[in-house]
Order: sequence, then C-alpha cells, then structure tokens
Amino acid sequence: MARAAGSVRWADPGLLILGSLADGPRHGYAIVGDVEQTVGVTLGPGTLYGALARLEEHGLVEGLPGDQRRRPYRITVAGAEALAEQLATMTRFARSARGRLQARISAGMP
Amino acid sequence: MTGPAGPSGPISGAARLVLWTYPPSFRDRYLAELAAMLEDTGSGPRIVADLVAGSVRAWARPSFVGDPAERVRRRRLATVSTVWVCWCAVFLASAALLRALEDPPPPGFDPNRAGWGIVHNAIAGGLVVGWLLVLAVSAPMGLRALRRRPAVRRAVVPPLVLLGCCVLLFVPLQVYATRHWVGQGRVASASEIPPWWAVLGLVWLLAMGIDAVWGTVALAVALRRAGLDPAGLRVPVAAAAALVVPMAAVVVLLVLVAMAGAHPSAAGAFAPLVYLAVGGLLAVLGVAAVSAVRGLRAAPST
Repeated sequence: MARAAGSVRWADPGLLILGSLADGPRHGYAIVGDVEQTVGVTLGPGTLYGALARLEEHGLVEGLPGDQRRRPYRITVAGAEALAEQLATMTRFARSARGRLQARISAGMP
Repeated sequence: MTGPAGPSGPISGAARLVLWTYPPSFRDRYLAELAAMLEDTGSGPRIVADLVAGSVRAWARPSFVGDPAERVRRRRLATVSTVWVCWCAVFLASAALLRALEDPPPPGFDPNRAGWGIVHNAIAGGLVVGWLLVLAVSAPMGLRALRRRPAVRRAVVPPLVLLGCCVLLFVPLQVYATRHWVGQGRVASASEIPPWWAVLGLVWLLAMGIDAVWGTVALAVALRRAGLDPAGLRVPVAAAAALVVPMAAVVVLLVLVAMAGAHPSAAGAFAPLVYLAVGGLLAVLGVAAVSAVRGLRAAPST
C-alpha cells in the first residue's frame, strides 16, 4: 500500500525508500515520515518492509547494527547508483513531457 | 530520525495474527521492527489490509537476506517446506477425491467401469512413491533431530499424540459400523446411526482435519528447528525436487479425472467447484515446481 495524497502513480516504494535514504540512514518509521512529508505518499508497514527486504536482498540498502526494533538502514554504493540511474531516466522523461506540454500550450491546443 | 506523528499503543489482535502469517525467514529478520512500527502507527483496518497484502507478497516472492551461506540455507529451507506443504495438499486432495468417487460411488459413477482401476492405481502408486521418498529422506534426519533437539520434539510430538487419539477413536467407531451396516455391504440410513456415533464421528473428522494441517505445519517448523546448514539441506532439496515428479503425475491424473467428469451427472451440478479444485491443484503444483527450481539453483556462491 503506497497511498498517494493526489493521483501520483510513479510512487514505487523501493524508489521512494532509496530517495529517503539518499541523505543518510533512517529507520523504518522515519522513512515513512520522510516520504510522507516530501512526496505525500504514505507507505504502509507491509509495503515498507516488503520493499526494504527486496532492496536489502539486492544489496541496494543495508541494515546497520543497533536496536533490533528500530534498526537504521543506509543506502549502499550500488543503491546510490541505481537511484541515480532511475532519477536520470525520470529527469529525461520529465524534460521530454514538459517540452511536449509546452509545445501544446504554445500551439493553443486545449 | 523522526517519524510521522501518529497513534501509539498496543498492537491489535488482527495485526498480531497477520504478522505471524509472514514467512519464517521474513519474521526472523523484520518481525521486531514491524511490531515496533505498528506500536507507533497504530494497527487499524487499513494497516491490517496492508500487512495482509505484504504477507501474500512475501510468500509469493520471498526475499532472503544475510551472508551468502545464510541466504542459501534459508532458500533451501523454504524450498523443502514449500514442496512438503504442497505435497500434503495434493495428498489430501487425492484422498478426498477417491473417497468422494468410491465410498460410496455417487449416482452415475461406476467404480467398476473400464479404465478406472488403472487411474485409481496410478494415483495410489504416485502417492506411495512420494511417501516412500519423503520417508527415506526424512526418517533418518528426523530421528536424529528428535533425539538431539527438544525444540523439534515440541513441534512434532503434539500432532503425533493427536493422531494417536484419532486412531484410538477410529477403532470403536469402525467396529460399531462394521457390526451394524458396513459389514452388510450397504449404506446406513439416518435412523440407523445412533446420535453418539454421529457426534463422535464428527469429532473424529474434525480432529483428523485439524491434525492434517497441524502435522503439515509442524514438520515444516521442525525442519527449521533442526539446525541444518546449507550442506545438510542439499539432500532434502534434491528429494523435494524429486517429489515434484510423482506430485505432477498425481495432479495430472486428478485434473484429468475432474475434467473428464468421472461422474457426468454430478459434474454439471458441481462444475464451478470442479474448476476451482482443478485451478487450485495446478497452482499448488506450479508453486512446488517453481520453489524446487529456485532451491536447486541456490548455490553458496550466489
């Protein structure tokens, strides 16, 4: 359950988690709060830990030693590279879509 | 590291129950964190629904974390447990089908018809081959684990005791039925069956059903508690993969019997149920086959 406040459809939980961990380690509850604050998407606990398990399995994030109940996670080098690649693709898509939208508006199309 | 402001308090019973439906490897790694998070977020119906979806996804696409050897161990454990549970499901479905078709035969179905004997024996043969394989691999390991590990005994002994009780109850019920109607080669009419026999029969049936599920789960739990390392799990994984072969044979035969409408008069009336059962059996076989392949491919270098 990645519930968006609006009609966001790009909200892949794995990507949101990587984005949240990009500036430093966070535990699960902090990731949920950060994602909710920055993109308005609420990650449910089942969704969050399902995505964290996949990311950890693929070596994109790693759990840090600490409290078992509030274990912090940090992004790995491979995770940072995967995030950068995804963001580059999304940036290209956003630039292209914005350009086309501008052209449409300029042409006076409804 | 702060989280969103939200309700905090004890976890609801429903959420606690759903947490225990996650795969064992997932629970080992994330249960404490999930529980702590639920204490912070609350565990209302929406959260419970999210947990249910998460549990289904975790079973369908398990993730194994830890060092490479631990990942292989968990993958192999998951394969053996999954194939075991699938095998038990196929066995129970076979027993139910044979019972429904032969004891007593429904209207329109003749157990003496040409070909049925061959199908019956082929299904029974597949089940025997499968059980021999299960016994050959699990008996030596199981006996060792039972002797050395109290946790394994705690998992396995209670369902065995219940099975013993079921057998003890079955004997007087069967003796009474044999004396009064079965021995005369006919089906008893409702008035002939004394209420105490009907009640005990229902209790026996219920206990057997519970024990079938309990025993299946208990052996999977015992396997986890047996403390086998990746190398020790190599033979059980190979046996689990081999078990898929008789399982596939039995499932194909069961599906053919169901689709052919072994008793046409009833097949029409129960068609949706038949298709549901066929779909379920094929899904079980698919899950076992996929899990076996993943288990065989798991190697310490991965």
